Amino acid sequence: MKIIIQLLFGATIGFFGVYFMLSISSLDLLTYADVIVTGLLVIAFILLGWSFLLHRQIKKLGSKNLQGDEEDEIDVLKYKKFSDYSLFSQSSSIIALLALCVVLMITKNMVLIVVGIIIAVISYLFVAFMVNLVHFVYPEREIPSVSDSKYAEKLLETADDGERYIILNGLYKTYHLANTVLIFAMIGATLYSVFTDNSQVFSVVLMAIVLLVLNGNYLFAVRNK
Amino acid sequence: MKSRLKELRAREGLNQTQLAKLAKVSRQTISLIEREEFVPSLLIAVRIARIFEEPIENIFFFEEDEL
Repeated sequence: MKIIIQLLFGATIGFFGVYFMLSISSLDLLTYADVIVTGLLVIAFILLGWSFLLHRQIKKLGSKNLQGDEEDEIDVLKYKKFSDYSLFSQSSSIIALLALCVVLMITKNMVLIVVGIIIAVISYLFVAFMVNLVHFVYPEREIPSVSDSKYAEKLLETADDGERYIILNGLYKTYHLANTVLIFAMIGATLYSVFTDNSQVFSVVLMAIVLLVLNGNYLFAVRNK
Repeated sequence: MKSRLKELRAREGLNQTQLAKLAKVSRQTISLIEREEFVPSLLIAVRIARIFEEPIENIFFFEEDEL
């Protein structure tokens, strides 16, 4: 029964995937490029606004002086809000970059390019502010300077055993997810090329290189220990 | 691995944040140990045992099939 459900699920995804490919082949991207880019920039802007609100909430929570279980509850809340802030600000910077790439490739609309650059720069500043926020959330920690050449390694060293366990779990799942998603992206780009006659050879090669670097880097790190 | 961490914290009137500061770890680590999702290193176990003035084996327990 489980196999039948999996087959049906796969067939449904396959059907809609091919349907999407066929629809996109008849869609004139030039006509809708500005609308798509504007939509992406609006999403990035909303995420930035959300990050700003979270930044304020974290600072407000950090200034509270509580005792007992309330102190733990506030710490849990601060940690969750900090994680959300990281996710939203990083997503905003990626979406703004995507919007910029699309507008530069397709319409070269100057207004959207300028707005895109502004949102991208603000998003990257928000990502950079994350370090300041760590200082604020964990004042007792000795967080390395961002300009330090071994920043990532030193930051990992400041984490304790429990935090490293959480990081390891998250990174290992992400590594496997990246492998799967990139393979599906290569298949998707190939199908897109076949159905639309828009060659995606460069992006397929690029994704293959990213996969090779990703796996090579991980396996060399594991092998040399 | 099971532990009496929550019970001992309540006995001493400590919250997770306070115990974490005393044991020189993060609150997340204490929370993970209490939820039995993480087995602490010997160093952390010794620090916690010292805080509660109890032998390690009185705080952390293993099921027979885990040994």
